Amino acid sequence: MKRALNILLLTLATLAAGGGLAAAQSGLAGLDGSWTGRGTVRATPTASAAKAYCKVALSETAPGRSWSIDGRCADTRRSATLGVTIRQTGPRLSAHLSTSAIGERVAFSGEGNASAMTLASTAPVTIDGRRYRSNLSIRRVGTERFSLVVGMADGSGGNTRVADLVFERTR
Amino acid sequence: MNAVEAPAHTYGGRLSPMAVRRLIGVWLLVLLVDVVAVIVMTHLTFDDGLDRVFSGDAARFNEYQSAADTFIQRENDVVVVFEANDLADDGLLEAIRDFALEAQFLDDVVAISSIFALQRWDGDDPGTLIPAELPEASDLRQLLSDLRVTTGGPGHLISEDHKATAVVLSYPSAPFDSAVAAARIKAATDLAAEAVGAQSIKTALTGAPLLRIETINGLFDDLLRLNLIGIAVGFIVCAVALRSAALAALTTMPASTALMWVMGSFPALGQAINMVTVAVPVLILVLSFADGLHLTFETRRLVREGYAVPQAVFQALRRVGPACVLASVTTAAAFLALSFSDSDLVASLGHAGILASLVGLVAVLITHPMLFLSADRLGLLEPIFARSGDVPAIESCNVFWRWGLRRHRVVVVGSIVLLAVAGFGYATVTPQYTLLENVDRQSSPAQTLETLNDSLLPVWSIDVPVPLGGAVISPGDVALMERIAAVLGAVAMGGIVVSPLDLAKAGDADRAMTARRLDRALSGMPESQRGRFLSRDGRTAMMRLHVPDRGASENRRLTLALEAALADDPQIAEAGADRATGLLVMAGFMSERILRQLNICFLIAVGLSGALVALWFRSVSFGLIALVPNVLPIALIGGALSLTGVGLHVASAVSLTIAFGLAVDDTVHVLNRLKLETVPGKRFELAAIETSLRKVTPVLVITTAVLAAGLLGSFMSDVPSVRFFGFLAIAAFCLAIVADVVVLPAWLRACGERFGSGALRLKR
Repeated sequence: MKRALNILLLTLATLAAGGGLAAAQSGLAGLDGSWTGRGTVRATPTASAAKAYCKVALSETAPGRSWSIDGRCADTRRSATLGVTIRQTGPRLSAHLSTSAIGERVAFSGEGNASAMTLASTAPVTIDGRRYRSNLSIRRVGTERFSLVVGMADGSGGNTRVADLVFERTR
Repeated sequence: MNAVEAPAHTYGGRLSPMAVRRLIGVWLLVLLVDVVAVIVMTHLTFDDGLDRVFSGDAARFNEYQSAADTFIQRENDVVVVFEANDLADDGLLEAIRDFALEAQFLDDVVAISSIFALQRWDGDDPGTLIPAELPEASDLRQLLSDLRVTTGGPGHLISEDHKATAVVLSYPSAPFDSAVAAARIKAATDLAAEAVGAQSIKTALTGAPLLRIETINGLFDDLLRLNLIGIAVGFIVCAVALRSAALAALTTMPASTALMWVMGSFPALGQAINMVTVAVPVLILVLSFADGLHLTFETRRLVREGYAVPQAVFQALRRVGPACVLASVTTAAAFLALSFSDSDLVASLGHAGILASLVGLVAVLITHPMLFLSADRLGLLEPIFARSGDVPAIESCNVFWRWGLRRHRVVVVGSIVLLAVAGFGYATVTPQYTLLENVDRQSSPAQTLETLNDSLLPVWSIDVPVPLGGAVISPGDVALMERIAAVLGAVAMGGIVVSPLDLAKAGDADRAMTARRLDRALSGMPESQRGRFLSRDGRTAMMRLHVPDRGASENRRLTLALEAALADDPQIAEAGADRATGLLVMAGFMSERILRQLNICFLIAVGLSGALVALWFRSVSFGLIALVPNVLPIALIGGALSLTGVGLHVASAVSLTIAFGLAVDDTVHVLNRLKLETVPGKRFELAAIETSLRKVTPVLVITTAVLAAGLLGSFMSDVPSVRFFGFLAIAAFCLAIVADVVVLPAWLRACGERFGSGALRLKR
């Protein structure tokens, strides 16, 4: 279950990075504020799906250059805090994630446009001794909702959807 | 009768100008103190005192403290119970799962336990037993039924009939703060209501924080109710007894002032209102009523004998005042005895009571003469006295002391036999205690607790710390925990064992796999959750037997049976896992210790009161005789508690000690009157005893009526221990008045005859 959270948090961090890129292209315009996410995650790419719930706050800390995301995510067993910082240097975006669930910083990068984006971890993610490449797609629907799908590819050609979340602006 | 001279500060039956100026000064002083008391009173604080009931250097308490320091405690957990006709029906469980998810985002929540968190293992991989997509109703019913079988203790978070499930919200271990707890409870209640929406699910919350808040709210209501009813009833009894509403009002005002000053003194000295001190203000109120009545009756009697009102007021103060002082001092002595208790809570009651007794006395001795002199100055008092009258029915009470004097030998022997029998019963009474004794059993948290006890996982537990072999859980540790779980399950039929093993059910897998899974499950938990299963240093595991709180004696019996069974297993005994602890265990044994101490406190109160009376009247015989009619009622009640199997609770032991201190007051007034009717140095004559009793009995009956009726408000309390406290105190007062007008006269006469003419003689 800890791994499910890890995946979820990696997903969020990737989302943050994607958000940064989108911001460069006005992708994050109007997304400042509080977000609530609901959906499912898997503990491992081979595990069964479990319900998940997130609450995050997205804020632009330097106009057009850096952003932060702070919040928590939970499955039915536990929750973990999340902190992500995103920095824009020229055309590239870098993001770093720190969380109480994994206790280490993870780097991401990606690209996209204002309504859809794809991102990936800059290094393979190791789960139970197996290395995975994480891929992510975000589809934004106006300023009140976006969906997030995370897949894990282990190099054998299979791609398992490990997170499937829909975020809505918190009322 | 002693000759009475007009005091120097009266002039021709009226107050001198100097005395009037002094009277105005006293008024200003009293009003100033009143204002200060009212201001300070707004800072009264309330706590249930649970943190301070048990303390002391005893093995059970130290073991409890050690476990509390080593493991994360569950005392702040809030349990939300969801009930429906069938939770497997469409959408119901989904709503509850939403709650379990979102509740993790409530302020301060550190962990959630629910059926949705129950794990299944696929090899070394954990997964939730309840899938993200819930199956159809029939399959879901089967899944829910399987939970109870396959997951051990935690599976009891859903009832067998699928009508109820519990979600446990865990909060950080920290001293109880009612405001913080109330905010948490409100947030959880709102979220539960939002989650279930319009679904046909009933939600209710329980847990120690709710029970404690329930108690505190009850205390606040009680403080108002007890004292308002005490004042109203006291006034009515006075009005009936004096046959004058005006005179009753004048007698009520000093008592009300005493109440105000006492309640003002509590916050000033950092004393909170808790489940035992809540009764102190009303006790002082009724005691002050009694003192005021004695002064009023004496003043009126002297006026009727021809004294001018100012003279009568001062003379009454001079004649009855000392008895009032002694009565308050003996009451304070009873409270002083309680201050010797190991229990901080009981000791705080002792301190509060001493303070309150003395503050109340000062208030009455100042305001009673002040009011009567002022009323006289305004020309109101003589007409009031003229219109007032006596209640003939009360005069008929004289038949009791006449009978006691006539049959004094029978009464004395009978009282000795009764005292011996009842005293033996009291000595053998079983100490009792329940964590719910201050909670209204009909309240929602208490009822929900019953649902947990009956259908789900009881909140309380008997805990067994299990020393582990090393920092990593080994197959040997698993084997040891399995043995302990088997013993706990076998000894406590109906109890539910919750252990770390539940986190790593290996089914038919071997212990090495269980150990591996357990290590993995625990290491993946946040500290706030892991600390409930494993000590902070990782060297001790905690196994819990969840059982309802069936009362201290039953909890002690079960604990001893468990420990004996654990010690019988050589491997368990060798591992040092044969000792139980936890709140139930500690409260069970410590309540016994504290109740034994309270009995000693009672004996100290008896000794102090006897010594005070002996010292005051300079007569050892008086001191001893004064004890008989006051110990007898307490012994009778204690014997009845033993005989009926009710047992002795903290509230009853405290109540009996205080009731003793108050009951001595009547005896003091009898002896004081006897002193007034006797020439110092001369032997008491039968006629003097008769005269004293004739004068004082009606007043005693009325003051007892005030004492008893003034506590009637306790019957309306939501706090069971306060109701019982009031019941026992009223019973003690009623028995004490019977003893004072029957037993005391018999002993006075018998002692005079038995020990000769010099036996009952006051020194000059």
